[in-house]
Amino acid sequence: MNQHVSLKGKLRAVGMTDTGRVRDHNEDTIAWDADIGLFVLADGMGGYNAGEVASGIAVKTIMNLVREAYASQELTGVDKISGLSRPGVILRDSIARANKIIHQTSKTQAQCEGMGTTVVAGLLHDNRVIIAHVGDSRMYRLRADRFEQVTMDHSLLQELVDRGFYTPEEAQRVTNKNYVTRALGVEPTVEVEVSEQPVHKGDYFVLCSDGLTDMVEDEDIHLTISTFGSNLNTVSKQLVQLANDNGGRDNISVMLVQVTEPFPAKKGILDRILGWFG
Amino acid sequence: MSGESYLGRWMRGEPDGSASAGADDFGGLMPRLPQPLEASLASKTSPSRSRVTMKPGQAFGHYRIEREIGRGAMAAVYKASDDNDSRVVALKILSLGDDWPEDRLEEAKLRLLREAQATSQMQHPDIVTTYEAGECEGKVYLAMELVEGVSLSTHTYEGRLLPPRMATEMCARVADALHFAHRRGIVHRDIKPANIVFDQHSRRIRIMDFGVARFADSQATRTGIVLGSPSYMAPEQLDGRPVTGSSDQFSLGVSLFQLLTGMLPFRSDSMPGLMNAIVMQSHPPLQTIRPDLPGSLAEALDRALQKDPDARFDSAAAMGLALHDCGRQIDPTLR
Repeated sequence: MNQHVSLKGKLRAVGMTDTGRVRDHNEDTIAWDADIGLFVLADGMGGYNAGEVASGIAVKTIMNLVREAYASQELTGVDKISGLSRPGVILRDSIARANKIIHQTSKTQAQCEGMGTTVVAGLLHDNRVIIAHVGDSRMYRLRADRFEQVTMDHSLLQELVDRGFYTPEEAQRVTNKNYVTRALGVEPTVEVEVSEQPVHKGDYFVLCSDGLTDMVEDEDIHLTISTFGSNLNTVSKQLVQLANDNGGRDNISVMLVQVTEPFPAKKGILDRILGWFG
Repeated sequence: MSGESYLGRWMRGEPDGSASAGADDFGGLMPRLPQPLEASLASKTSPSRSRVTMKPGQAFGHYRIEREIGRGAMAAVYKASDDNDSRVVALKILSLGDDWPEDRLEEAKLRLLREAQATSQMQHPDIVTTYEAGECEGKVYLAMELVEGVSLSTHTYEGRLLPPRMATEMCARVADALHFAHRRGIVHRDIKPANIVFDQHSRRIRIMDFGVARFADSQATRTGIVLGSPSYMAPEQLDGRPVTGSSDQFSLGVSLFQLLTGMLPFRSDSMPGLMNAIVMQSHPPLQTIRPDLPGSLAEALDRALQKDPDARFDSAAAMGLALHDCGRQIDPTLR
């Protein structure tokens, strides 16, 4: 089956990951495939090098499984139970599979015991973006001049905000902010949060680890993209620099995607013939 | 935000709130404990290869240190005598910073030396002469002419401003000297009042730190973006486009704006805001702040402060000519 639609020339994307100023190794992993429109970022945790192992497994597994599914499966249609598009289901299941592998590894390898990782992934397909995440790695969207967080952290803090114990502003000042309530690899199964939304030409998407968002205010991320938006490389460097200037207390990872052209899925032969008469 | 202040904060090891609670306190929640701060600090701060401290009387190559006359984030400057030809020099010893990975340090030193050597070929009455650039005890140094006078940064505040005609004429001379360097392929990259020295006695201005000041900064971080305030930098310097002589025009425009008004043309309370102002926003028209100054001066500033490098003056010489003209139109008694 070859229904693969290349997104080459329709997106611009860069990614950058930095150890920061305090940690001595980088437990974040990022990867992307601009051709199929897949972007994955994971922030690992665990002793020794287990954090890197966990985030590495997560990213590699998700990249591989989505690529394989794209090469072998039908991408049209909607899943009746979840309401997700086919690519949405593929992404969700890849993340669930990554969870299993990490959990297995942590149970069987002593040096990996207790490891885990967050993940945030974006998959662009048919003028839409599928957003999946577990933990406190985030995705933001800049559309026209509106900058919005499009994922909700799976963190103690966010849950307290959701339950009305704190306002988001108060939450910013609370110290225990690095507790995540959901992560890959900790339990045999995990609930992956997946959503889909239409994409507009000119949209920017930012995927990042908490090493960025703990150090740099949303408003400053927004300003930096507005300032240097024509040069994504500069944006990513400046964001990492800002996080480091503000202390760089954790690993800093950022991926930026800009939609430069619409990317409708290639229609089947019947659709195309009908389209001539439509 | 300077490299120093960052380092200061880092050395003090600001407490990391995320380390305050143990795993057990939160049952099934996952604590994300950072590594012990002291351990990582120890590995990064010692041994320090960046801190330069020389004592009076100490020898450094063929120089003998007399006293420290300045210190910045990236360098220490000493008054020193040259044993070879008994002249007194300003000896600037650069520290390339702890952020440098070992393997890139050598490459950086080479580039810096090449740059400094190119600068030392330049002989111009308004440019501080670099006598020699070299490496000694693993450190890159520059031996420069010892200059008398105060930097123009002392005249950037309300109440201490220079007469506008004088400020304009000084900047015209800086533009002329910049043109001399640009024709030789050398860009200053860090023109600001602090790098322009005025000697009351000789009535001369001198440009300091050609080509090297920004070098030490721009190369200092792993991510390759400048530390320190970008207040005087051109938009193309901020977003990584090629830096040309036109960038110096922009920086000189910012400097002159500040010398005339006592305020910077681009301001913000945050670094991203400041960068946004420089890259995206226009400066306030000069005449809204100083309506007593000629329109031609406002026009010259507008030209130098164009965001597009190609829309500025054709050369620093052209900017110099325009500023000399403006200077003549300003009443010499105007304060």
